[in-house]
Amino acid sequence: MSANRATVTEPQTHWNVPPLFWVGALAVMVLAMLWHGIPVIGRDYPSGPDYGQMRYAVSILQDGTRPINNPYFQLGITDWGQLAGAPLLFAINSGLSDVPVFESLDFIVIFAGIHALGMMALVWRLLGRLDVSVLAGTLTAFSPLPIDMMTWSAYPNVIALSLFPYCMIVLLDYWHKPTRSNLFLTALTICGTVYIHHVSALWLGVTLIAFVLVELFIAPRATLRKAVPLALVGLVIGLPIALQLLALFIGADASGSLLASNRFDGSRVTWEWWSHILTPIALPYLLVGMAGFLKHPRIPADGKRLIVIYGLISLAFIFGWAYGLSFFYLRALFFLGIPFTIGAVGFYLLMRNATLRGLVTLFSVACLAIYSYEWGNQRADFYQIVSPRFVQAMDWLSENSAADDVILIPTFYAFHAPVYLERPLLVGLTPDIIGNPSELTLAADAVAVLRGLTNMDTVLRQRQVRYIVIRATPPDVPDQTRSRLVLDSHPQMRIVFQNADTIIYRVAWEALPDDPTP
Amino acid sequence: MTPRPDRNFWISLLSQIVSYCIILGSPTLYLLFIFGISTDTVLYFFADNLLLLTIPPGLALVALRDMTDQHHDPHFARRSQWGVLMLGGVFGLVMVWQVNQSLSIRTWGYGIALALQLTFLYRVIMNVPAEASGTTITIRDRYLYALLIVILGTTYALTRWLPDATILARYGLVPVVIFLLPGMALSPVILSEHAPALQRVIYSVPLSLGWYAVLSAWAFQLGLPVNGGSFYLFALLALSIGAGIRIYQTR
Repeated sequence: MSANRATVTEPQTHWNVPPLFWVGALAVMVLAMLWHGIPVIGRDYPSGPDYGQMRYAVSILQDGTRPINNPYFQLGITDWGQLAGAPLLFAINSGLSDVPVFESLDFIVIFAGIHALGMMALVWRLLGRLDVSVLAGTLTAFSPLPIDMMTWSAYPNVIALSLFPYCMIVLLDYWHKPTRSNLFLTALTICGTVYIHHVSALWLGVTLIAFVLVELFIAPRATLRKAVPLALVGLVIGLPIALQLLALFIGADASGSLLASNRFDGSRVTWEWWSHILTPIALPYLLVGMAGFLKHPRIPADGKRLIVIYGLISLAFIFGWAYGLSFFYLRALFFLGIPFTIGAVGFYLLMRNATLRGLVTLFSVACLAIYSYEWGNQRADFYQIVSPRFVQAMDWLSENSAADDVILIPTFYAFHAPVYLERPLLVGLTPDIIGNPSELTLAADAVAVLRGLTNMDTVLRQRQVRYIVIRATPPDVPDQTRSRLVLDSHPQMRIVFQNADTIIYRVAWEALPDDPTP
Repeated sequence: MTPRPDRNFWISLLSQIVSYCIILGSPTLYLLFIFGISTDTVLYFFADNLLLLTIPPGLALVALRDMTDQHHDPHFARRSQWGVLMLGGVFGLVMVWQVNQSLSIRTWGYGIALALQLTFLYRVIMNVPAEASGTTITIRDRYLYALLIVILGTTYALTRWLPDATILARYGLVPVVIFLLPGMALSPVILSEHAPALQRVIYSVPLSLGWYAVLSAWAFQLGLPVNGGSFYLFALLALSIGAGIRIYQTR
């Protein structure tokens, strides 16, 4: 008992690993890239709708600076409110390799390997055991969470989440040994990760603040001696990042969105979503496995606290609707990847009998791998938006429309269209997927047209919409079937282009009656 | 009079309940999904709940277990690992065949990769002692900096002057320049001089990405142009700082 107590706060700072660790690291990195690459590699066009990040990267390389607004998108009049980190990485890859951004999207797959290696290293850092490290790396490689994110091209979140384990490792190092070099390393790592995306910056920021508050309660002076220098050095190194983040939160009215908005109500997590994205086994992992992890005497206490705080914050966002926190709840689910893997490790440690432990692990991992592969393929097919026929439609529109013709377009096409078409776009994003409030009015107008709401004709006249482009078959946002019914039955719409994937309507907005409302 | 079951009896019983629930529930659930069985069937309900049923006995097990006492059985592992390889292979091939409806080269590749990883994982789990200790691989700084300079120069030359070599540069060298080079260059200064190679590799990832991010953010802030050439300069800067400080320290 006393031996166990003595090791409670002893960190696993050694990195003298057995040779099999290297073999395991290489294996899990390759597997992660294979499994996560499903949506990207082997397709003519990668799946997913959210390619605004890539447009941003192209702008960086073209203009040499951060773009202020997205030309053509939402008529080119809204701010381009996002952090530059994720697009910057694509710009770095493109700039170094001299390959255009849109031809080097498979770069994202490397982050799958980085993620698996990071989780393996984090578990080694906490427990110093090869078996659980390889298990953590393997589970991360096969986890459906990042694979799902890949399919809808949530690349910034994929990148940020792949770096979270490294943030935890360097933070724990600094907490145990607050030297100047560890301070610099931690500050630089956290600044770099914060820069990737505002949502992951929020997660990391809240986790760090909560961790420091808990540590303050336990050891006030020691915590202040570590937290204050970290905050100061972080602020100096990352001042431009902090300024951009602040401007983004003010511009996006983050506090208003988090506390007073009801636009995310449709994204509440259901068991169906939980079982698809996290799988049902995640619940025993998170409850039983995490309890086992917390009870393990060899894991440093601050490591336990950091993991638990991160997990609790994720749960607080996932179920925020229960106490009035407004957030895209479904997206919060994806942040449970680290607790999921740590919980699985705790579950594994619970099994005393070698045979049972081996069989349980084998069956769980094999089934997870099979499920992820199938789920990844299904989701990638679902989100396969760009096709040669879509490109053909964009080419037709380029040749047959004037430079100032306004094109109305739904969500799935929204970020792809500007790659092929230099025209002002009015984009029909639903409120739950809008991060930038300056887009809300324009997006609501576009959605009104696509859903056939009562102000549809007013919007068409006011915005002088000349063409509407929709997908020929579902899915899309707003619902494609409804959009097609509405547009087909409208007297001033005429189909001018159609193929198996895309339909283009021409709008005679001048022929619409005047707006009766003042 | 029958003796009262001791703590070990309960641990063994609870472990078996939890294990059999997972061994039965996981494949059932995922095979139902793979073969497109509707989620409102009784089998789905059964498999879903079989996994959730592990929670109460699992929590009881946590309360009873001393988490450090795990048993290992290398003889059993050696006997059974070929079985695991075959089982993994069958799993993998069924999976990819069901998804792709064919047994192409890619299908075989995924199936074999899964089988190999399951066998490797199984072997590691069954054979490794609880406290793994290993060897230290260290890197001599002078060789490290020479290698990094060669990598950076070769990458630039291949991408700028030999466009035909794009594949090698894009998939081989550029990832090294992005994820490792600045971090490896700074690691002899930031980490202990005897830091094992793995530690340097692991820490180089966040260090490199943070380096590029922070320098770019400052360049944006100061109005300095950022383009492909800037990123080579950022990498070169890390190399110069790292090598400069190491030379100064060792003089």
